[in-house]
Amino acid sequence: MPQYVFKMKKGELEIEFSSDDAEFVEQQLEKWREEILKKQAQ
Amino acid sequence: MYYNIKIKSQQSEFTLESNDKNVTQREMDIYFAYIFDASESFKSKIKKIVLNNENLKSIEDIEKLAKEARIKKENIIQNEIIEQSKSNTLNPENHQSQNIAEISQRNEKDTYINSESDKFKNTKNSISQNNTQITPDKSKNTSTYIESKNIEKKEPLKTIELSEKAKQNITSKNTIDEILKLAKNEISLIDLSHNETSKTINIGHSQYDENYNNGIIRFEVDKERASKIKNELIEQRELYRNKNQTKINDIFSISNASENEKLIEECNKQNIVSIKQNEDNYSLLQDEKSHTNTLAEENQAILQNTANNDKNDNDKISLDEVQINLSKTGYNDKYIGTKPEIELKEENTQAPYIEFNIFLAGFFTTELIDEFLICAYYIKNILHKEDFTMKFLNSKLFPATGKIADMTITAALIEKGYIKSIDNGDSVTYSITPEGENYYTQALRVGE
Repeated sequence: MPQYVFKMKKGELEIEFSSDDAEFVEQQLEKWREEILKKQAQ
Repeated sequence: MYYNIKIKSQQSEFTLESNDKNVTQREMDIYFAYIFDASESFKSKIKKIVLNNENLKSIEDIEKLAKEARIKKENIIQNEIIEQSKSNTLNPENHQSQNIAEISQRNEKDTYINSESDKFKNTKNSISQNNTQITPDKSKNTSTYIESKNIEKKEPLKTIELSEKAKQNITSKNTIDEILKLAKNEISLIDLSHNETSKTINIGHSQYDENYNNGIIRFEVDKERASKIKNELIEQRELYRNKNQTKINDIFSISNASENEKLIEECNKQNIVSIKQNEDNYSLLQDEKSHTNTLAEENQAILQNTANNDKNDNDKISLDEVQINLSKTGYNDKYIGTKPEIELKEENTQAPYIEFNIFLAGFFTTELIDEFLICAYYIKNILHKEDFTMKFLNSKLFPATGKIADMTITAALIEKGYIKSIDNGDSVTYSITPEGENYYTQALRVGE
């Protein structure tokens, strides 16, 4: 079964998210990406 | 499936390991909101938390904030949101432009974080089933709720939602003296709630009579009139007491909402009431030696009792039913020393049907989002209700699972197209869609 590991960093802080649920990973990352883009656009 | 999160800084790190994606999703969103300075709309969707400190630089800052954060139970947040929604229904011009997230954001002016914030203290945690166990707050289930559906006009002393039989006896033209005369000493509780959000008088009958609108008669009045009526009622009660030489609480009690809540709390502390579940009905015992039921057990019995009454009350589903059932099961009645046992036996002579906890036992899932959908299917196909409120669904879900669904679950299911929201003008209800039923049949019922 595939495993997905993603890291996001801001300064010294780092969030590492790992799961084998591809659909959930996609949803979560998309949600976060949109939120980051939204903040950048402001 | 596993869902792990690891938060690292130069000083420390901690890991959350879970196989419940709902828990992980919420946790991740909270951390994301903290660390990446998410927008207010994003934070408001989390519901659990609104950040005041936007200058976080380290995990220590997060830990500090988490420790200082005010703990607030999910059901209280839910109640606030729903109460706010009800208030908005009285002001339709506001309601149309506000979504749940905005309502939540406005309500949560303080910093909220749930009890799971304790995990911040640990360097490594493992969680499997981490949905918050909530015991309903009995003091909230007193007569402070208003049924906004039933309040259409703000006119003084308006009788609402009375049965035909009750209307024959009590009309909007009755004076309070006439009402008292009609009710005689059957009145057990007069609850005057005349604060800014609830201008209601609830008159509860100790002798439960379904023809009297489940024992509750409501009048909408303004604050001044409520105070005046209260004084009149106290005066009438004194006259009645002196004339009949009876104890004051044997007739009826008069209180405002806050006073009543105190009385209910006192009842709880003293364990005046215990509830025993028999095969066919509930009976109330005042035996002090039998006070073994826990708060949670009593609440579960109340919620089950609510479920038993649903079939005959399909068009009146709201949290008010919990309040009404509290009265049926004796929290109010015991206080004033009445005997509700006869009425309880009469009202429970109904044909048996499948309880949701039994219905749910046929499924393998333990995920809240699936249980929500199963419950939605159950409400439509077993209870034959086309739509439901969140409170009603949770009244089924909580006794069976110990979990309470919030709007994030609803939003996720709406996004998938499995449920739909129905705007009734003065309220919002939900219904399972054909796609949701198809998913239920194809995916959830794999064990059959």
